[in-house]
Amino acid sequence: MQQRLYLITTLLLVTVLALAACAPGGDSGQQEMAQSEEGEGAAAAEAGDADGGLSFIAVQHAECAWDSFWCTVQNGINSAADDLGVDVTILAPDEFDLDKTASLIEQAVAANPDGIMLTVTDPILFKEPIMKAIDAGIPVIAYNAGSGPIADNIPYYTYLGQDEYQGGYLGGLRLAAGGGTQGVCINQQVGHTGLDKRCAGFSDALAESGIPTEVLAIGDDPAEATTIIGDYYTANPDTDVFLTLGPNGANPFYVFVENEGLTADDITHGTFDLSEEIKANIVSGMTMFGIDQQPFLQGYGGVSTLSMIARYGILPALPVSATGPGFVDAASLASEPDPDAPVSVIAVQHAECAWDSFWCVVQNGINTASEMMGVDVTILAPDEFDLDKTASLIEQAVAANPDGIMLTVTDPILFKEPIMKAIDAGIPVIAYNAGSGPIADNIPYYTYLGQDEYQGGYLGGLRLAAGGGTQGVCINQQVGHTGLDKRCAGFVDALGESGIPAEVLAIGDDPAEAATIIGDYFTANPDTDIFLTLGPNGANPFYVFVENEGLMADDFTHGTFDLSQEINANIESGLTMFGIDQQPFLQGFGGIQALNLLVRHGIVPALPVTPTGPGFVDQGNLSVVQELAGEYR
Amino acid sequence: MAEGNSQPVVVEMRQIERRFGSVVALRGVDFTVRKGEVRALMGDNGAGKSTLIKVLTGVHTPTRGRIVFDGQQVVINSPADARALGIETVYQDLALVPLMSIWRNFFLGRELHKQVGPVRWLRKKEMSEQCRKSLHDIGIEIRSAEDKVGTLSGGERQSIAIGRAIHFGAKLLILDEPTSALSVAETQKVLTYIENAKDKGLPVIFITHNVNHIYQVSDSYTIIRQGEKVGTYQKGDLSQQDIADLITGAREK
Amino acid sequence: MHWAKNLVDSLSHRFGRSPVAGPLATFVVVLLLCLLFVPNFGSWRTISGIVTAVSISGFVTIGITFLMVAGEFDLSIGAMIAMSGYLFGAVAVGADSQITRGLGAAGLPVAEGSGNLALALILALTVPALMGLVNGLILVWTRIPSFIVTLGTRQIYRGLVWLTSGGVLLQTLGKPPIFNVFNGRFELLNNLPLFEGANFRTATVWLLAAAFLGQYLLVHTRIGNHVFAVGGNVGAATAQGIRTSRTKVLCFVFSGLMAGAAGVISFSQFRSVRVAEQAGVELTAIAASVVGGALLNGGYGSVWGALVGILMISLLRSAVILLDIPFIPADNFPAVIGATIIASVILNNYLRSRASG
Repeated sequence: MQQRLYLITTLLLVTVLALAACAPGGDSGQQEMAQSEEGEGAAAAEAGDADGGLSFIAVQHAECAWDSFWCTVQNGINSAADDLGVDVTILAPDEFDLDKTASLIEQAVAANPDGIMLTVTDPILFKEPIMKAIDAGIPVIAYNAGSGPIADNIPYYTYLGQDEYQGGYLGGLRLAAGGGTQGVCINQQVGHTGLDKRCAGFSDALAESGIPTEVLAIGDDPAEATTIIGDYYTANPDTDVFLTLGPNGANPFYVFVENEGLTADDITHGTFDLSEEIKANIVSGMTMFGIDQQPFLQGYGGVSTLSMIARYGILPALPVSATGPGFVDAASLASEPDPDAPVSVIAVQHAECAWDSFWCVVQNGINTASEMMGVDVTILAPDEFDLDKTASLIEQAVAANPDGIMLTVTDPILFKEPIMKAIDAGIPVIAYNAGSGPIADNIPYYTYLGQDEYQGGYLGGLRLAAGGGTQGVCINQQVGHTGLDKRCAGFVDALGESGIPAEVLAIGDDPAEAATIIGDYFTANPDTDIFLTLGPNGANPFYVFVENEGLMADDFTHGTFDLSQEINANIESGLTMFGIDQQPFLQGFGGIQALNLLVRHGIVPALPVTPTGPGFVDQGNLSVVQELAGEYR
Repeated sequence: MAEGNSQPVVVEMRQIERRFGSVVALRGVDFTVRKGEVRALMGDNGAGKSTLIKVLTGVHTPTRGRIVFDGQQVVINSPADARALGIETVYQDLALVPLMSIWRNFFLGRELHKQVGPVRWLRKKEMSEQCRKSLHDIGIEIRSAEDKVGTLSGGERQSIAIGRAIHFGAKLLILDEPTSALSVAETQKVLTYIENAKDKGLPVIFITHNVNHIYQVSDSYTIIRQGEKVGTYQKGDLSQQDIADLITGAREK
Repeated sequence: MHWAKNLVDSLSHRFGRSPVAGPLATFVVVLLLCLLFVPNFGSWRTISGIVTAVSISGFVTIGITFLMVAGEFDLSIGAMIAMSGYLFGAVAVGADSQITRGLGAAGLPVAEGSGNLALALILALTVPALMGLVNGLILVWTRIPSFIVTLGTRQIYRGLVWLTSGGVLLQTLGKPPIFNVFNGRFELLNNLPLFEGANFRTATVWLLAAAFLGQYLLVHTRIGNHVFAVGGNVGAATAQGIRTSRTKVLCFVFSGLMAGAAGVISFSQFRSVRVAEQAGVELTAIAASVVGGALLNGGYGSVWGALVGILMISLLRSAVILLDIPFIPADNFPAVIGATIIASVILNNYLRSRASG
């Protein structure tokens, strides 16, 4: 009952807060009250708006009733539905049955909900029903099972699951942090893409510390595996960094450790997944960590992602949204989730809505999330752009000892000291909008929420090259700027995959000069027909060039980063295919959500960088975006 | 000690004192120059001769003392004030702008221009012509007034500066070590121009180290030591050795 | 090789008198080489591109030339252009901006949706001129080198632009016809059969007008004479009774005015301005002045030379891109320009040193 009351309160708050003057606001709260979250028969979909009143359907190949793994996932779904004030119906077969699951998808499409989340357990079998949903204009995302829209060859938005390479890589970084001589990745199924990626990430991470690694293939037979590991160790007695890829790799490994009489001082060990045996070894200190795919986050994130799409037109940044690796170590095993704990967060940012309108959207994200999730938030910002003052505001935030701090790492050198004070005091810290992630910034905060520049360029390149092309150019107004260079690198790589040559064209800051440079480049390379600009001040001279040359929309494809009035107008006219948005609303909203999950549910952000962008704006969603501009976009 | 010249006094400096903080550069110096006179000013480095000249040209203002110029007591607060009075100075290295043409240097700060409504522009041809002619009149021949001063020799540069002062009707010409960096032949030329100036009745103050030059062009010389005037002497009053001794202080006056 | 020696001799003699001669000769030689050897160079499309590329930086170059002749720099010009762009853009069209609202609230005749062109022009030209004035006053009052003073105001002025603009990109879709007068397509010229394919813009006419004004001020007026003297030998200038401080301050004001004009010209074409607009244009302009014969330590330079300089940089850039050299990727051609700047300065120095014996 308490939860229900909480839901009503949340919905009322949302209704009062939401500025869009839509009539069904108050009523929709009542509607949701009347519907069971797990009941049959989804409510008729309202047009996506910021007012709430959304109903989603989750279709999964298994469920809590007969597979306890799914209880955690469903717990996440329900938690999110509660927090975000949406209605979610979960559909699952009584037993593992892919045909039945596929027909449940059809059933979900027929109910015409505001969004569908599903497990893409079999991309070939599920493609047809999923396409029906997409064709009907229902947003679809995948969770737990799938490989992302590109690999699955189904144009759903994103797949929420573990990033295997990053799991191996980040695990490797942790294992190598204390040094080491030689590493080994113990792979029970060489040839399995996911497991191979884990080992690849591990090898790359150790290589960065100058530690050589090998992959050791073990079989399915634990006795045999134990011997293989033991023989390998005899042959390579310097080996002291071990990664196992799951309980059935860890199990023979522990036997081997016992056989050899090794102790935690001799070696470091990390593993994927958790089992009772692994947990016990984490507690004893033998194993440094277990990597969890965080099924709770797969459920929670799925609902959250769908509501972002349906409510705010905010699209998931990447084809794969990582829910793992979530590192479980001795400390996190000791803490118990407390979903109802009060949470207070302080947000420190270098600018604010009062004097920089960009920040109104970020702050709206923060406030919306905090009201939905019942998080108490205080925003601190200087009266004018002043990094010293911002740094002292961080100190002030630490002194208040909140449950979490989110901040802009505008200057990683200047801010390091105050941020370290917070981390040393045990306050979880995450970064948003400005920063480069804990590794690049060299400050061990959890994650940075911002645009993934490389992926922006890469995914943009894929879109631009989808219709074919002869030659591409990335028009870079500031060669040497890491972020912009990454965008171009992604673009060049994406075109390269389609066999289209592409290069980077440097333009300066002077638009008149830039227009001529682009014109000259085009004269020298008249086959160029794919253009990417990196912002309004690259797009601006590009449009002049187009006018000068008398080019038409049919002659080329153009995409750009960011939006401006001019870019919007050109998207509308069809000259520009898309603008890429960093989605500032999501930076604020996601920051609160991440801290909420961390404090209440022990869910750790999977990656050092949690991408909020690229968010593509094209003819399909331009009107939605423009309508929400200034508030959510 | 006699001022053996009955011409009217052009400038009279009385009891000039100048302090820089606690350093006293001039301790009540009297200094008088009459019309048609070439007066040499001598002294060791730091003796105060430069300070005295800078007081006269408005670069420094005196801490105490008064200046009478052309019979009027005057206050000279800036180089512009000094020029307005007709005091023209030719500095050893500051006289001209090497990258500008001869005529532009010649007329610098006194350019001729014509005006139509609010629009003014320089009368370049006229200035170039006047410059060449005026220099010719005092015996200075140049290839072209359009040439950059930087292309001229040191002596030629000094001559342009002297010619300029004469052209603009200076009432007093001050030459700050004009020959210190010149070859013998060039020095002789410059000394000739000084004599030409003297012949036109223009009084000249001539700062130098070189006793020979004094004997060649000046009628009288004033020696300064440690901020005080040692004395003013007529040509022939003292031997070269005497002068050197007075400058260095090896002998009291 | 005898003819070559004669050419150098005659050039260095001319160069001794006019700073334009050397750079102009180099420019003509490079232009001829490009016409002969660079594919697609000899088209009006390319030539007009080279000319229109300098339609903003050209103004800055004229202003910076005054400062360089006076022996000074201004590194805060980019911010002035941004300021001008915001003021002009917001006020001319009555854009949705805090500038429009603020000025309207202050009682000035402008409001959202109803622009005021006269007020826009006045603000866009006078505010940067005032910013230049402040630079000049700080310089003469504190006697801190202008490099340092304007390195400081460069940041301060960006902050000022930030505060004025609210930190947001100003972009207008509407285009009052007057924008085409300031910087529109010069169809009168482009439509002539002779100029087929040309993309000339009216901005070039304004740039030429500014150059004539600059040339008049620098060469044909007393103040111009004083600018040369102040930069060439400040002691001599002082001794000749020139008010050197006033002269320098006036150069900063003129340079600010040119930045203001650049802002107007820029916004008229691109209808877009952001806080970081034109960061680094000062260095291009300084390079152009130097390529055009100006001396970094003052006392020498010319408006036409500087224009030749900026055109030379523009021409080389176009040539390098058009050559499409395989081992010089398109993101690397600025390095080639940099090398050429150094080469042309060496040539200028050689000619000048021969000229001054």
